[in-house]
Amino acid sequence: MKTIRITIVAMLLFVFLFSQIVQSFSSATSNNGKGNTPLQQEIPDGFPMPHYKFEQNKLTQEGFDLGRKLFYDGRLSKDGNFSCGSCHQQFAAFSTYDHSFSHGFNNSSTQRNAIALFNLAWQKEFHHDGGINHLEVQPLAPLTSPNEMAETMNTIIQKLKKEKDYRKMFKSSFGDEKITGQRILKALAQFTGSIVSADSKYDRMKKGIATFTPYEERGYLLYKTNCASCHPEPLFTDLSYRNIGLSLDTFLNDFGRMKITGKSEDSLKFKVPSLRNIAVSAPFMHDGRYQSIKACVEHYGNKINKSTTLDSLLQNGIRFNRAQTVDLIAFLRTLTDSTLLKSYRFSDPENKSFNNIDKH
Amino acid sequence: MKLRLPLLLFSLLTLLLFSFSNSKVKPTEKGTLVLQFQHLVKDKYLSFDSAYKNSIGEDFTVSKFKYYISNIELSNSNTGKKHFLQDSYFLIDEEVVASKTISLEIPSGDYTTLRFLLGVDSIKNMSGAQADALDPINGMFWTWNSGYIMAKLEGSSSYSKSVHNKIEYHIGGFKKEDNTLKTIQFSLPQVVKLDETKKALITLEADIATWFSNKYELPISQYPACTIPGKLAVQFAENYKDMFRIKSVGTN
Ligand code: HEC
Ligand code: HEC
Repeated sequence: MKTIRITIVAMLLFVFLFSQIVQSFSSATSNNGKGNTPLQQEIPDGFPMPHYKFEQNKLTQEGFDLGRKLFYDGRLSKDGNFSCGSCHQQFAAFSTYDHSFSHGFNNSSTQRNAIALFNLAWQKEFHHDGGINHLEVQPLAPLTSPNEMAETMNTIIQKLKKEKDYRKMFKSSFGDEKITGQRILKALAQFTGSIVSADSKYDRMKKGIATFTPYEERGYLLYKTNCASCHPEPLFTDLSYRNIGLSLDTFLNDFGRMKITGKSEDSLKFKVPSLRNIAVSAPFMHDGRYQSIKACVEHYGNKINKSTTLDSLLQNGIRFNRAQTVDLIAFLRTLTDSTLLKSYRFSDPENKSFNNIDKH
Repeated sequence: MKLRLPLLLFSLLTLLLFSFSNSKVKPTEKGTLVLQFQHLVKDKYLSFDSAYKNSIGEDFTVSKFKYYISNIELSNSNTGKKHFLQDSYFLIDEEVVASKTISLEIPSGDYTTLRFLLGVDSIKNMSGAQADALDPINGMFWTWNSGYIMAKLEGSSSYSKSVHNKIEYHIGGFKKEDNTLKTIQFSLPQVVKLDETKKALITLEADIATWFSNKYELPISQYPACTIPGKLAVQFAENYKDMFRIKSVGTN
């Protein structure tokens, strides 16, 4: 009996000491999420390794929930009206439905079409010109205008500090109630970085649990020969910057990538967007100039504006007859991920009218 | 009963291990080095209320002057001993008196050379949301073209053609040919001896006049502003990299 008792005591002692050591180690990594419900990053089958792996920002349920609340909170904007979610609407794959320019931006020279948000963890750079080099710092652009940045971030922190809910959520996410810009940004990245789109009909076809119609099948082949070099599977973008011959809007004077690199060879180049969810994310292109997928497809046929930086793949345009256009569009429509568009997890947590949608 | 001894030994051993794991972090002896930054225009100390003249003869006033100091290293050119301050970033801001004096814990020893980076290294420029000196709240981060402003000078001049005669220099950029990072190195005029009882003080002066004329002549009349990375920013950085000089080294 005694031996058993001693064994137990020794074991307990060991466990206790071990936990002490582990604790002293883990408290050294101070800015990591402290939330106690770890979440696994979703990496769909067939996807490459993500670029953003939540290494300095441990993904937890608590951090995600905080990010979700922040994403949908209008108090993050100056006048309280514009949350991230007001420009990035879930039913439009987190783009702005039906508006070329989202309301609320100050800086008229950077007026652009809101980008649909998904699979962001696979991106190295953000915005149409790739000017943002990290998912975590991206929100600073919409949240603040460059000159008054300091005050604005301060005001947001002051506003959030007043809310008991937020103090509680920051504590459960980061270990204490302190609200800082860094924590706000990390929490937002937990939410935005978790948005994954990989459950469209196309994805189910790939898995063998759905079949394409003959139209879709023919469209898939047309896509593979004509579009895949810039919009390759599975992300449907190669994340490069290219000039596809959109004529310069002389009112906006947006030269795209050149604004970031200062190089004339980058003039009129814009980030290749994903083709996933384009059936719900109109209007299209960096300035939202096209209202329909058909208009985009026709652009590659007869609207290409030649200039020195025009992509070599598009020198002769890509033309489709009417039947082919129908096929191609049928395929592009298989890229809509209705699971994501209806996912409760990514919806506005305050939206009580979300009952008609399955909570999963 | 037979098992009792080994078990006791085992628990003792764990205890021992635990105390070892704690004691191995025994600190090396350290001394305190204080770096103090003073700002001037030529031979006059900077004040936001005064007007100055650059070497081109243009008048100007200053309303903001701040810059990053990072990657500080102390070394001894005789012994090869080196101490690099990992992950330490300081924003020196004329407006915030306390920011102009930074206090560093350095392993005891004799040092002959001080080296630091004027700016924020490229790794930290690409590592996402940061805190403290690197918090974007400090107004030293470009949000539309991610990256830190390494040094900022604002004010006004009758030679400026900008609105309200403003002058505005936000110098930054860390990529390839746009790189504005500058390593500053000084052989100290006397050996700095650091140990637990001695505090050393190095006073550095930074002369703003260098911004306008040094390697390049950058008249206000022609360049009242520079707020994006690029060739002009690189020229300003080339100029201001020589703004520092060591005023004094002392111990107490
Ligand atoms: C006023 C409307 C508006 C608001 C509010 C807004 N965005 Fe955006 N968002 C845009 C626009 C427009 C772009 C494209 C900007 C560009 O390319 O210059 C964009 C781009 C992005 C991108 C880059 C996507 C990519 O693939 O490159 C992310 C991520 C993003 N927004 C997240 C957020 C978050 C997080 C918030 C809240 C903090 C937010 N947005 C608030 C309009 C908005
Ligand atoms: C040379 C590379 C290239 C090729 C080939 C190419 N695209 Fe694009 N595509 C782009 C770029 C770059 C953009 C974004 C342009 C902008 O925003 O100004 C774009 C945008 C789009 C958009 C708008 C998406 C949005 O969210 O705004 C659609 C739709 C589209 N392409 C479909 C296609 C189809 C269909 C094909 C094949 C017929 C194709 N693309 C071939 C580079 C290419």
